[in-house]
Amino acid sequence: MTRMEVAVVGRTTSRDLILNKIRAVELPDVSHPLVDGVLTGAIEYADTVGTFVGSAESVGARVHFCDTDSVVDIWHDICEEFGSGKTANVGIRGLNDDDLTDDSPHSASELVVYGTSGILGVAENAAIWVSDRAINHRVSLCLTQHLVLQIDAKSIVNNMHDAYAKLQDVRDDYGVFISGPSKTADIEQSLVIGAHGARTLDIIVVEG
Amino acid sequence: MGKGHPTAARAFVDNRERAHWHDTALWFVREKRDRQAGSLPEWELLRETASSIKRHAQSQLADYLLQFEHEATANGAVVHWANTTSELNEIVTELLQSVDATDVVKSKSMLTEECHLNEHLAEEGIDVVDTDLGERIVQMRNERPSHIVLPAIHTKKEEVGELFHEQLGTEKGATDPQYLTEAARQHLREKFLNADAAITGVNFAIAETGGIVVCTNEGNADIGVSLPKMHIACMGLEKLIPKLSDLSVFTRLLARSATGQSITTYTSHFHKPRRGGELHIVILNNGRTELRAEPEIRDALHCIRCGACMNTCPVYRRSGGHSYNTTVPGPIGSVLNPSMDPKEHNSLPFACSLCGSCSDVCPVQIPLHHQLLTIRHSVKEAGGLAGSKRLSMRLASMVFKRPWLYKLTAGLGKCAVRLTPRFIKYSRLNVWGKGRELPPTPRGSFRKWYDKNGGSGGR
Repeated sequence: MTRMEVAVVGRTTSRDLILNKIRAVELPDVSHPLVDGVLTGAIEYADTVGTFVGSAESVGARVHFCDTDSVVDIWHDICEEFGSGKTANVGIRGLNDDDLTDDSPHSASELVVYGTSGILGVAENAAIWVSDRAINHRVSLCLTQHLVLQIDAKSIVNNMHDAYAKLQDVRDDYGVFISGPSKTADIEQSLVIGAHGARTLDIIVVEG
Repeated sequence: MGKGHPTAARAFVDNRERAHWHDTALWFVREKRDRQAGSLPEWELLRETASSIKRHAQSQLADYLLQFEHEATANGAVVHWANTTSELNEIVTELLQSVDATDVVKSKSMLTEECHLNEHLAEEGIDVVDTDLGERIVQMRNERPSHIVLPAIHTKKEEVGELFHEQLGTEKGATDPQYLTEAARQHLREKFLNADAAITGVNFAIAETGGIVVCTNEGNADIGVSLPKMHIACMGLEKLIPKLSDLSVFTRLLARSATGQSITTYTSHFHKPRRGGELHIVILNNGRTELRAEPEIRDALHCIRCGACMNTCPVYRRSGGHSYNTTVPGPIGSVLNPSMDPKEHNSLPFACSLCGSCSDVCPVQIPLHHQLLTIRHSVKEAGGLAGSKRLSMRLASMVFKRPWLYKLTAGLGKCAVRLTPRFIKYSRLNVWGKGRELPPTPRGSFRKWYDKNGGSGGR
């Protein structure tokens, strides 16, 4: 046997060894506490959109409200605010200029502003679910200097339970809840916005 | 045998000002956690549910591991199994060598600390850069993290400023966290863009979908794994949860308990590798199956590594994470480490006042202080108790078992404490008296007071 083959046999043994060790100890049967994944009694808000905005501002994001027709204007305003430089977006209403189509994701490091649309927002913590379904390189979400996410007001849910219920049948290759711009408090617990990921997050909430 | 906690804590404790600063910094985090917990009326329900999910997962662990392996493989990931830390290190080394990787970025993973993976890879000529800011700071200082969520909590900004001045060329004397963080951002961007592979830990692994979830505030995991071709995720087998919807419970508890945030900035779900990339998942045992066999300790495997027990622990806050000499310090570390290596860590269950605060804040209801007491018993049974403690415990037990003797010694003791000169009272024989003062002795006694006021219910 070659060294690699020996290693592979070793691994198979480890797998069986671990599984056998687990099976050798029978634990009391405990049923799963959630029926159909539902937790009853979780907090609900009278004004989910208002709560979402409050949560978003507390994690350092900016929120813009608009109707369908003016989304693109807001996108352009934000791009202008962050000066000249590479911008790209996919899914901001009516636009798709994500031209990072080469094989290497490293090109995303030039991005100054990146925009895309989120599938849902969560009122309790301002998290927005974004998947890489339409995005050329998933790293764009974090590697860009400034991130813009558009969501429909109607897609905002109360809490994480409602959010995962909606995502139940979604199998995104990569999906992420993003809540605010990147941050760290690793130096003496001082909050610094703009760690490795985006320095700012603008959320465009589309009403109607 | 390693040096015990009291010895290892001495230097930290002697610097009173700094110990106080550390204590205050952690209490600040604990208070943020309290505000978040208080904002949800269902907080206790969440804790109870989380605990039940973990217990359920443990009861069917083999099936869930196999389901996870099946689903992850179907997604295009490769699952590896390691019974020991050295097996994990070998697997990771071979994977990295298969793509000729020499520069690797890592996002925070306590599990790879447990395996001493960085040191192992360095011997193979592979350079690993920790990319979480706190971890990068301790890596540059040649230290290990002193806290599982706040790795550099023991470090002052002046020290970070000096470190960055020496190693990253920031201005001398600069201590502004904003400025220093920006310098680290630039330094680490270059590392990200030049990395050949990325390693991460795993917060949760979902049996139902074969996916893994990684939580960060900085975005370092997402950037790290999405640029190079290879992503290696290392997880302990206890990270498994049955369903995607279970994440709703755990994501609501984790960040609130850890840093007092309602959720981490990035809660990233990886099911498939990036386009053209590879995703490898290494499942580690390293004694976890043995822990699972211990009825009184096994709940410690429910831990989601939030660090809340450390932030609230009066001993941890005043002695610092390094005094534990372990990867995971604090109350949960004092349960896990002596259970896995009793000889090396038998002083840790005594680094505890049994106040029970850790059990109260634990988001998955691990009965930490009960477990610590249980482990104290096993240390005693194994003859691991220090001579001075053994003697004093035997004397105390003798006295407490005999009311007449207690009455006598309590009376005598009170006089003795009042009359004995300081140099004898606080001599080297009185270990307890180090850094502590006896309270002034009252004139009367409870017994006398009770005889007078307690009425007929008494003896």
